[in-house]
Amino acid sequence: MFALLNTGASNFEARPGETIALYGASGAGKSRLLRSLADLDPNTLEVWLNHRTRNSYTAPVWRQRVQYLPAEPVWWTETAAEVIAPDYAALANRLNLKAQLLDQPISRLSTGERQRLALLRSLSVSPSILLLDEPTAALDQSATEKVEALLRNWVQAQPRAIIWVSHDGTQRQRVATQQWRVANGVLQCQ
Amino acid sequence: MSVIHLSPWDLMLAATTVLALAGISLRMQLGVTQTILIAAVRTVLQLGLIGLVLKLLFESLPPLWLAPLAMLMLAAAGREVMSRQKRRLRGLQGWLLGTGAMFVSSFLLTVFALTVVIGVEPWYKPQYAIPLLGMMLGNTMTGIAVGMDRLQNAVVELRPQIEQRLMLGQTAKTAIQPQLKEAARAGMIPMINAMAAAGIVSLPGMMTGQILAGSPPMEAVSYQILIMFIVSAGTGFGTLLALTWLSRSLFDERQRLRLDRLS
Repeated sequence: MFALLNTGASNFEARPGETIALYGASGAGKSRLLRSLADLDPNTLEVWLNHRTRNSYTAPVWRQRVQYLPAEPVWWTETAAEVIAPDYAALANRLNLKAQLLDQPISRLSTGERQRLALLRSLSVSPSILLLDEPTAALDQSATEKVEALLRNWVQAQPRAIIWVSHDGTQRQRVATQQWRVANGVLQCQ
Repeated sequence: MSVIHLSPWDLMLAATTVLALAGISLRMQLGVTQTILIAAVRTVLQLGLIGLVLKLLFESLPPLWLAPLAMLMLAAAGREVMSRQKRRLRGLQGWLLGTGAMFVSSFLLTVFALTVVIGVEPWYKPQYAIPLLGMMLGNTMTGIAVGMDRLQNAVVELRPQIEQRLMLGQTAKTAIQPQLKEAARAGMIPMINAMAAAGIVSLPGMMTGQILAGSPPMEAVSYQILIMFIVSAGTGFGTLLALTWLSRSLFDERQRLRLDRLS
């Protein structure tokens, strides 16, 4: 039992190395579910990671392990380099990002560049589970493929899992081992 | 040197200046005429009342009456702190927090000044205790109100940033640190500026009053320095205390930012 979620109605399990696609109409509650999983809002979910309940982790450790990357990540530093560990900064070129971008003022970067840098920032805190909210929404096809490839490597390198919100059916086919649907705030297995 | 007595007639003459200001604001349609007049009337009534209370306290009442008066002053200051905040903690908590911080810092520093520094016998002698406490509360109140208001507005406006920091595994304490610093600075700056400008830009009110009442200037200056020190320290500690409590109340036991606790 690597990661388990009990919504009160049913159980959902992510096995190590899995990428789970999450889909559903806008406003169905996908982001709310991800926020709850990361314990950012009061919620009644029961979640386990590595055989341990969520409350047995301190809240900061839980959020570092179960890393939520929102659709619009926020930056508070001047440059990306300040918050991305060197090991992960080195991955920039694998996402079609020039290394110099890391030292440029964030405010001058494009939405797509910020989105990819935010992914590196999230990876650099060493999570076990990534909760991605439309991580490729602002990217062209080539960059999207790079992100998918990087994440495929990442999730298989260690006992890790990804929950990936995507509106793109073909992308879900490409990346996912399971698909979960959210409708009216209720999670269903497909 | 003796004080020139001010008659009610003299005060009415002084009031004509405020009336003139109110008249001009009315003509210019500034929308503050009523506020000016009400504030002026409040000044007369409130100061007149406290004058009577102090007269009673100094002359005829046993010093034990100091306690309820001090509590009344504290409650009024606590109410004022609440009314100066745009967003506040729901329920009794917000009032308790501001008032509690004010109580701890201003009472402790007042007692310290009375017993250790001035050495009044007995330490609760109303002639010293009431004015000191009044000045402490008045300034601490402003610092705490400004600081709390600033922090509450900042967490609402910068919620995405604070939550982003939480998402990356920062503790609540770290995540709110920049806003906390900013609010603490905003609460303390006016007092620091007052210390730096004292005597050059402004002649502090208390010192001016003492000089007008006939005290030797150096005597008045010494008291003013004492007051500025304890008032600054009191405002600073009070603000820090209130902000520390407030920033804890803004997060729950799972270190989630709980804006639903603000009204």
